[in-house]
Amino acid sequence: MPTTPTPAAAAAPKSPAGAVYSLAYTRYAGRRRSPAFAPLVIARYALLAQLRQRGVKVALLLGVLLLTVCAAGLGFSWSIPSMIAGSGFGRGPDAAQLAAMVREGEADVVTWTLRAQLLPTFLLVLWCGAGAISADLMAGAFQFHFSRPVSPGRYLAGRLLSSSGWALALSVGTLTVLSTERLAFGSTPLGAARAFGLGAVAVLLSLSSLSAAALAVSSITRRKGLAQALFAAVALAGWVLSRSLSVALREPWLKSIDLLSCADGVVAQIAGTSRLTGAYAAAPALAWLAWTGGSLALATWQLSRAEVNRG
Amino acid sequence: MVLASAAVKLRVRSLSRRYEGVTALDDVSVEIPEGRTALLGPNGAGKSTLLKCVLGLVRPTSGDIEVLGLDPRRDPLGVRARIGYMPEDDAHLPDLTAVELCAYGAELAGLPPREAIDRAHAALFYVGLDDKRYMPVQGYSTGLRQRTKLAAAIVHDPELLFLDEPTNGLDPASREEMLSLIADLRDRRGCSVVLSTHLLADVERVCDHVVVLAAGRVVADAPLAEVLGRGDGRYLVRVKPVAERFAAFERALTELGCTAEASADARGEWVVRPGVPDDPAPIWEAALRADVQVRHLALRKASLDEAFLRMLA
Repeated sequence: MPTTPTPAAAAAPKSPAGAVYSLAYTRYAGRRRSPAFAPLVIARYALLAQLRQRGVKVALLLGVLLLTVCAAGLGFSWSIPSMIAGSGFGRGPDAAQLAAMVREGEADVVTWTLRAQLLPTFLLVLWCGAGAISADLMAGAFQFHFSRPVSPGRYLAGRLLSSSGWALALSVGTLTVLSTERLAFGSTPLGAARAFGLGAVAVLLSLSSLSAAALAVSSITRRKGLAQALFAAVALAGWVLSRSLSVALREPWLKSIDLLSCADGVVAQIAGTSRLTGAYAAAPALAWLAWTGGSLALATWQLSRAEVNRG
Repeated sequence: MVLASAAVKLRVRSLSRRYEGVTALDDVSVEIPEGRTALLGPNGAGKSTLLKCVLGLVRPTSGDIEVLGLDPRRDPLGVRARIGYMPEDDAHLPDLTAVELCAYGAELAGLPPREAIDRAHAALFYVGLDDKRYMPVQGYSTGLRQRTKLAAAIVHDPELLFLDEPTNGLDPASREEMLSLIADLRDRRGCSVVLSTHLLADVERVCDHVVVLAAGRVVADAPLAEVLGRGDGRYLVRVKPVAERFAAFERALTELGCTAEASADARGEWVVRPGVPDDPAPIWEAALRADVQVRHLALRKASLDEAFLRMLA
């Protein structure tokens, strides 16, 4: 952990006026950490502040509720093969069928983590990310941050972490519960770990593109409500448009290029379950790169144009 | 001009900053010594641009800056870790209490979390926010917000502190407390202060050095005592209060080419501008002719308001 030494504090001269002030405020001669910690500090305090907002609490509660329903439903579904095998009716699934069912169950972990938490994670990113930079602009927090050893890049990294922090916690929690449950219903530890890993990649890809887009929208206006409305419009209108075009033009790859779907498409490619072939197979990955990279570039450009940070 | 014995905290040489079609700073050279320095100037004089250049937030078009021995263009983060900045406008984060805001500022400046929270409590207590520091900042009055901003600016123990209009919106008692804190920061904590303000009374109360900017140029850079002591060539004359001779004295002054700019009051005081600058001989001559006894004759010291207006003119 890189640290920088603090110059030795000079002895405080005595007050000539004899005024009494707090003696607790003295010179600081302790350790100072590297500015590289700034993103973590920004994210930690932002997550603390977000937890005081009603919208975040409601979205988290909704997420826990959906996790419970999903875990119960999947548990019932996964227990069917063993119920059939134990019932004595027919022969029950053979070993090959059972293995295929287990593999399907492992795929369910990834699919249902994304599906069950789509609404809560979207709401959390909308609430925590889409207004983050707008709120800072409105409250004069740019001066607060940039008069301290914080570079625009680290500020953006901190805001990116804080935009997706609660959504990440919810998704990883869901993934952990479902993976553990799958392990209890016949997966090997390796299979469950594979499902968890793939799910983690899916969650990270999904949240990074969502958060980057939310911050980009947030950086173009000082009005938090407008930024949130714009983000919702970009995500939902894009989803409707891509599906409509896909059906109208009979081009399946169009379904996987909107903000909400591109990460799913990339994960399907990684898992080998995608139906896209040839050059079209790269469409989701390119769309994800465009959404994430383009959004970060826009946010960075906006930050560099901010008056307090000019130069 | 810099006090010979004082260490220079901030040195600016030939600094210029031009925006599109506007010259915000034009060949500015100043040296700010240890102590309490006022940065004065009318709106648009370039004070904020100068502060932002020093903080490394704005890149100068040309010129050199040295803050605490560091170049903010090469090491902006290093400079900002050692200085404190209290902006004029609100600068807080929604939903954070004053303690959290100060601890946040301290951690961003590099303090570890435990030390940061300890220092946040100490700094808030120091500025007099002892019982309200657990409330969200957005619910504070103007006075409490100013105190919170000061605490957030000093929480990481800066060596040099920039205060932008720190007494704005404060009632007289709070203003006096804020000025006492600013004085104490230098006297007992060893922190040099640069005070950017329009309130000249605040400057006279706490500062010992003055830098005046106008239209992006430095029009004065001197110790406060020197600025006030320069006067404007007028003399303060006090004579023995014998009212029946006052008219004769005024007449004699006029005959000798002097201008008595202030009417005599019951105590027998005039502010006299001699016909020849810095030559009080006609005043003595007028007193002799009018048979009045001169009890006080000295170059009149200007108030900072007058000195400021004269420098701008």
